[in-house]
Amino acid sequence: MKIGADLIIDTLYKQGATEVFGYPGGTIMPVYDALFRSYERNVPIKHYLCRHEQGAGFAAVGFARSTGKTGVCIATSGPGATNLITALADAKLDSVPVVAITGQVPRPLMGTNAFQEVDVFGLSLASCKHSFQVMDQSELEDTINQAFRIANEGRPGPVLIDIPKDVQMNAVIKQTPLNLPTPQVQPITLDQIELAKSLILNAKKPIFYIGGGVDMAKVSRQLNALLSHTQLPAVTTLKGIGAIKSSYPHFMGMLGMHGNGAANLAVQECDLLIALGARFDDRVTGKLSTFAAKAKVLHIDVDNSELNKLRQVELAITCGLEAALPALEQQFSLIDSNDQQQWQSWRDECAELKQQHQWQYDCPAQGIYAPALLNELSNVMPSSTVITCDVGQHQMWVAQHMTFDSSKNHLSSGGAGTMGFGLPVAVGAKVARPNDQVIAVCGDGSIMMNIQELGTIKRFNLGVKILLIDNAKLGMVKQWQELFFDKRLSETDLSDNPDFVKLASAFDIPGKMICKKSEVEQAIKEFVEFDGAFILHVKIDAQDNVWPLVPPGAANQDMIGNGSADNQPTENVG
Amino acid sequence: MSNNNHNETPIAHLSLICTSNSILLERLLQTIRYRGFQVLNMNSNDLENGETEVNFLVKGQAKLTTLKKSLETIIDVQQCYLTDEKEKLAKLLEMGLSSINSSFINNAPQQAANY
Repeated sequence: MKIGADLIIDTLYKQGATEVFGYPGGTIMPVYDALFRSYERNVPIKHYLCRHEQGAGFAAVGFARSTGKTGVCIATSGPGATNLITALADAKLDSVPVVAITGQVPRPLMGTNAFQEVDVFGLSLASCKHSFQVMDQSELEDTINQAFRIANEGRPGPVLIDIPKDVQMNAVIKQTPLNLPTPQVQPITLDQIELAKSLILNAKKPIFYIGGGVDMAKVSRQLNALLSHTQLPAVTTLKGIGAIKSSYPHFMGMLGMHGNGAANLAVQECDLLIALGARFDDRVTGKLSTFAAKAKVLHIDVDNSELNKLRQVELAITCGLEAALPALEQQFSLIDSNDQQQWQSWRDECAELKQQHQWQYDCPAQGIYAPALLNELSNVMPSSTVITCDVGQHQMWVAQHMTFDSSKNHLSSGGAGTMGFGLPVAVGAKVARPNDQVIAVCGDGSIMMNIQELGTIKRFNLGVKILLIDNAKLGMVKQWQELFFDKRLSETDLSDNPDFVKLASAFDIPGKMICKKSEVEQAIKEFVEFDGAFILHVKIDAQDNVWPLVPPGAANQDMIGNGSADNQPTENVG
Repeated sequence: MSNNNHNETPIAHLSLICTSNSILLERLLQTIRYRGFQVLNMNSNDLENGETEVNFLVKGQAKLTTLKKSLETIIDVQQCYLTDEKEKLAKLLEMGLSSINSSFINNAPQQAANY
């Protein structure tokens, strides 16, 4: 007899979800039993047991972000489901297609404060793109199909399906469609394209502002072709990193609070901001009223609610970039050389800014300078390497000092800024891309938030590398306390950290600790070449901070550049 | 209808045509609150073809267009009409929310001119 749980597995399999992440428990046991039987039923789904539901949620995020496929995670009701919520909220803010399946107490017990009953559907309203609770077993199959559709269409995002245990256990009945409305896809019109082209051609100082939407729409190739035609300067957001080839000569780097000085100043100076798949996040704009204040804005995004939300724009086009970018690229493919030449002085101005704001790595101290180490790693690792980050100073150093040729190779928690992101996301990325090197760059604060996923790495023999940047502090918070809270270092000391190499060793993961600059080159070489999981524990000076920094509430041109309290400059701000 | 003093905070009327389902109102209310608005009054009427019309009177300082667009991104929402001009709003309030329908909102400029 086929039961609801079998139908769930069958439908996941048909959707191509043959690798899923999760953690079993009481109300999801029928699904786990069906997973156990999936191979004999010829619908094989490999389940990766993580060591915490949040780890499973983030592994699904890593799987999705490193491939563009849908990530799937499974948890039980109550605490299992609430533990997923952080990962789902992260996926919502960063527009990641994830389908989460949670067990729920049987329908007759719902609303009675039953054991492990939490209204996860209610919780999911604020943290998911959409959510379902399957109260009618006949809707089970289509609910799962619709969840995959919704997670991927338009602006991607997480979808939660809460399934009561009795719905999983009952014999399958005739399935009926949900009859959900299908949103109209807005095509880009010729008028819109011509208006956009006209705005660009009439601008003296246009600049591209590229967000994560470009990679999600799978149009990085068309973007790079458009850049090649126009030879215009371009900047990216944190999530847009990798969308522009690092070899593009007019790429200015990341903009925003910890952006490159040249990128920030170029945007402040431009007269047309061409925003593609970006959303004017406060970490990008600084003081909004001063952001690119001289510029007109052309904004193209699939999510209409992002247009004119924070910045009034001259031309707003609601359209998927998969339609808009090829159309724009085609318009500029035969650009007149005079048109292209008209921007030469602007290019020269931007090139000069780049020259003035080059990163400096010649730190005189004997200790390890994390930006230099990350730059060294970036230079020697294979270009297909996936880097995942935790959140904090090391995350910004990765964004500043490493180069990427695909956004799928730089997985960083952008919107939510979730500490503990790096390790489980690396697990998901390694499962998805077993032949590529996957390195989790972690902070000593962040890694402890999902350290249990070392167990997942061990169990599945995943060759995840861990580069732990350890300053024995919650570094970013400490930096803000020094700058904006009169140096009162409240609860940011982590000097009682464990011995991380010993800790990894308990999971059969070998490792090495370094603390001198002279050790970096050899250690990085061994780290990259080692076959299998490895932890490189790097102790750095707690005084090192992330520069430049746009202070909260300040304009982007008012970034603090070389911090007099620090003993090494990171950027020459001229 | 409440007699709240609406002089300080802008108010607006939203009329939505939605696919009927049991959690529709929860989803709409969550979005309205998140986008910075308070619901002053609301009602809903079942229409034909499994659709529901929901009317909200909301107040808030946040951007109404962002609220409207956010509501439109909800899977269940088919159409969303926004009225925030004072004259039209006054007439809507006078009529009471229960008498509002989307055709009025659609033709609001013409109908308002008749009052």
